[in-house]
Amino acid sequence: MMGLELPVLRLGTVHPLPVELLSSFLKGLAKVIVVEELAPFLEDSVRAIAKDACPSLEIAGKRSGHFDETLEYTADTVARALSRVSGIAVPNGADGAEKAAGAMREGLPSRPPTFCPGCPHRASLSILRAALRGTPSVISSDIGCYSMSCLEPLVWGDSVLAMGASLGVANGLCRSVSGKVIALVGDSTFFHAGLPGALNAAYRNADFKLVILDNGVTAMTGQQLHPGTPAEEQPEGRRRVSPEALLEAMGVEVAIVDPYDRRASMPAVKTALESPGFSALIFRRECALHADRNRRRRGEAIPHSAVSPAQCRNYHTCARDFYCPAISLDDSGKAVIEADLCDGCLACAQLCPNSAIARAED
Amino acid sequence: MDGGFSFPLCGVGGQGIVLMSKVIGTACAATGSNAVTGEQHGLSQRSGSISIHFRIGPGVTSPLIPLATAEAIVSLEALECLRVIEYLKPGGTVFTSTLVMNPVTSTALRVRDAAARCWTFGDVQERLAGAGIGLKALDARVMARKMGFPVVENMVMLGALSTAAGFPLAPGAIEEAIAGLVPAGTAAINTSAFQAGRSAAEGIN
Repeated sequence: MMGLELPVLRLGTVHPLPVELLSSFLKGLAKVIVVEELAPFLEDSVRAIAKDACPSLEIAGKRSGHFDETLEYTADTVARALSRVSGIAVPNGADGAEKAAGAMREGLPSRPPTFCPGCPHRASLSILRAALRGTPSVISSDIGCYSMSCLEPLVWGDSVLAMGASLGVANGLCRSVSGKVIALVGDSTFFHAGLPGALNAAYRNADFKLVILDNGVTAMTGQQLHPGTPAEEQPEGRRRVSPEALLEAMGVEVAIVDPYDRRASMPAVKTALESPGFSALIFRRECALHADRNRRRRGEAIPHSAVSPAQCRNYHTCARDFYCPAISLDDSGKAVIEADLCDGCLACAQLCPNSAIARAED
Repeated sequence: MDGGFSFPLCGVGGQGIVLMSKVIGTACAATGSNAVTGEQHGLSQRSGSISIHFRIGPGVTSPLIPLATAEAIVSLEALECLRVIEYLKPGGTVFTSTLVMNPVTSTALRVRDAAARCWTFGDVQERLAGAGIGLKALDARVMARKMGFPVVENMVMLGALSTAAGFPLAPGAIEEAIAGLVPAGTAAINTSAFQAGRSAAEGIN
């Protein structure tokens, strides 16, 4: 795109590195531009190879400030570096386009991913947060849909590191911070990488609460089955493994609640949080997307809820700290539910002191 | 420049943007057109911003569209077209649904500040007009809902995109790809949504 005719070496594999290929490519060159995303692995290898093959070689890469270690590279990223090296201007006014786009987006609200309408664990987090109100707490989260609680607008959670790390991090946190320590983990991640941390916490009776957000599937990646998936959904020849049975075998006390039933869950959640030492709390309810898929297979309609404008008194309890994408506020500040998006879970209805939300009849 | 016909597909997670790109890719494969697309940016189905870069043409190699070179943008939700607007070339066209899906961040803002305003389709129109960008807007969700199946809004917008000047695929090839990819029993409604989108876009000057 810049009219440059340069020899290009495109590597098909970088480990093990084709040292001889690189060495013969570099021989005789005065300058090389290394284009690789993230850490300067190739660049440093090229530097090491050039020390013998081509000692005077000039290397344009991250160490020279031509590229960043962050973000995905685009044609324009590379064009800009080529322009700096060659002195040829970047074509087609790319800079102007970015500037103009920035001006057009001024004030545009961001749209981070969030929990689906009907997600049982939006309700679980809302119950947990309410139960912890007034209690200083540290939330050690994990990898799964619930990692999204750290994003706008919920911004709830203190650490997300790696699969299963919620338990290891909580094992450490409870020895070093004051306040209630919670390890938040999905059912699938618990099976995948949480068991050693749970065993350690059980053995030491570590002072934190394990909260398992159980939805029966590996929801984040597309509802794959896992050992804890309900028995009736397991393929022929597979046996369900119950997370509570595993924990109870470790001597851990387990409480199980249904996040769609806020009133019944709240006392059990509070009791579990107040108990000293290591214990577990399981919020159990099928993934909403998975439940909808099963409903469609059975030919059942997906219900939805509606707000009665006469009963809505603009308290915003259904919106605040809940933020279901199906709920927004109209010009008069009253809540409205988008029927196309709503899953009819009625978790929001339980937040309304005016009983303004109910299943719609149509 | 490797040329070709490039366009970002965008919208809100859950609207069926991946299926749109699958249909276009399948139609390209069936007709022997070289097509390159990258993975989607954004999380599937989680109500967040989604975009997919798509490029068709014999010399196209990179899956990412260079800035200011896309012939068109197709957006299933009005606010989202602004997030990829830097890819549109001068003289390119934005095909968008008039639908505004209020992001949860806007609701959070309204909860904190009752006077805060939410973005409307009019705001998007104004920004695009201010920059002299050609716009073809369709009530895709409304059209789809009238057909009894709101989820086919993606096929309505695919129909609109297929009318873009220089779009390299014939409608018949896309219809065949649709029929082969949508769930059993829904081919007719999906192809009629595609045709409805085509006619609606052709009716806009």
